[in-house]
Amino acid sequence: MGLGGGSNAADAQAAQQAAQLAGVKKGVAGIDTAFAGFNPQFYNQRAQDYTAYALPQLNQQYRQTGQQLDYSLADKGLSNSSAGSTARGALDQNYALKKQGVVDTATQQSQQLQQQVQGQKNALIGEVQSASDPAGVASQAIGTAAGFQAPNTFAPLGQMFGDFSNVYLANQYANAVAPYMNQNPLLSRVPTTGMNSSAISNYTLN
Amino acid sequence: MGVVTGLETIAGLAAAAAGTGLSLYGNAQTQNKMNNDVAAEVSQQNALSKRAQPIVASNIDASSAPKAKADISSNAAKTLAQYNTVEALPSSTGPASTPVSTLTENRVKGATDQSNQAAAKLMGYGGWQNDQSLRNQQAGNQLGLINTEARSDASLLPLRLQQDQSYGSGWNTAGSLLSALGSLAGVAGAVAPATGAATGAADAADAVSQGYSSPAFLNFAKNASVPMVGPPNLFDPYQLSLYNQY
Repeated sequence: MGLGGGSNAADAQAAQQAAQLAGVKKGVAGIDTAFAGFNPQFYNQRAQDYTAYALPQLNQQYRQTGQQLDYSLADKGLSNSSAGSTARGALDQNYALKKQGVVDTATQQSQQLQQQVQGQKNALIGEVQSASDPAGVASQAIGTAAGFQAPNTFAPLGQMFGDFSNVYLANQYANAVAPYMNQNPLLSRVPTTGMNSSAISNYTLN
Repeated sequence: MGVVTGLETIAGLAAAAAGTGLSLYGNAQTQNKMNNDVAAEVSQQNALSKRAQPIVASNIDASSAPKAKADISSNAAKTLAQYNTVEALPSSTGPASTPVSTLTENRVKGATDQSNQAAAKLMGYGGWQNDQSLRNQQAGNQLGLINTEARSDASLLPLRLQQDQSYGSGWNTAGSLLSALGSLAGVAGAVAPATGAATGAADAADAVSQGYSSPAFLNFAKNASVPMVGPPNLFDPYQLSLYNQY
């Protein structure tokens, strides 16, 4: 009606909020665009990259441990024995478990990266909603997304067959030495863990 | 003279009534505007709620036990495929100097397959948890945006209602003005006889000749603290009460 009164403060506020909301939507769209590259293929590739990194190291350690086992068995004249076959089988089974571990680690690291990326995306979306400059946050998202795509540095794999060497080979040595230890009470207190074959031989020869 | 007084008084009353009417109309306009704004806000919030509901429903559906089982199986199958892929890769160690019997080979392979399948199942749970967590976060982001919009919109309602309070102010002002004019007209109607009678005794005589000669009136005029120069205005409660005393 012609005689209706009132200020336009609410209209001005509504216009300001509408503009801010449009900015938020634009900012979120910018974040989505910046993070578009983080798709399942990206994370699968991340897992494969770790596997490609870790497997050669695992293979090298497997080869070295296998050689130690071969030398040890040969030293005992057990190369062609069922005991040697069992020992080698134990190493192969241990190797299979370690490969499984590599795949698991690759998957877990990929999932961690997924969570980190999603967490960063959440934080940026939160910033967009509270920021007075949503476009600026969207630009920041591009930098953040690029940071995730940069290659990571990985620590070396570590001693994957340490447990096998310590337990299995030490047991082999202990079993080899045990008959002599029973014959000579002076050797009953000799520690065998961590000894090499020549050291054990010295004990047995004495 | 008496006819003019009556007309002025009636006009004053009419103007006051019209003023009150305009004020009531203004108030009604204000109330309608406020009701409309509240209804519009409720409608907007309902619309936003409808936008949010499918997101919540979808996430709840994806979180159900059957979907979780399917997700776990899918992740387990994916992990098992990765195990098998890695298992099939050559280890590049060359032939071992210690031969492994077929029996041992089969035993190792059987144990490895069993271990891989069991581990893959366990990894399936982890994959499902990861997927579920991501789904929740994504749904949370979508709902957060809708909430922001809802909060933003709702924060305007108090401003709009405040604005609405002055929506009918024009009508109210016009009504007040008309009421004031009506009062003035009423006052003018009340004062007009006194003004006319102030001309002197001729008017008094005229008043007497018009029938204001009752003993009660004459006594009233005589004893009134305010000199009476004309007949009492019986529309004036004060004068009426004085007159009635006599």
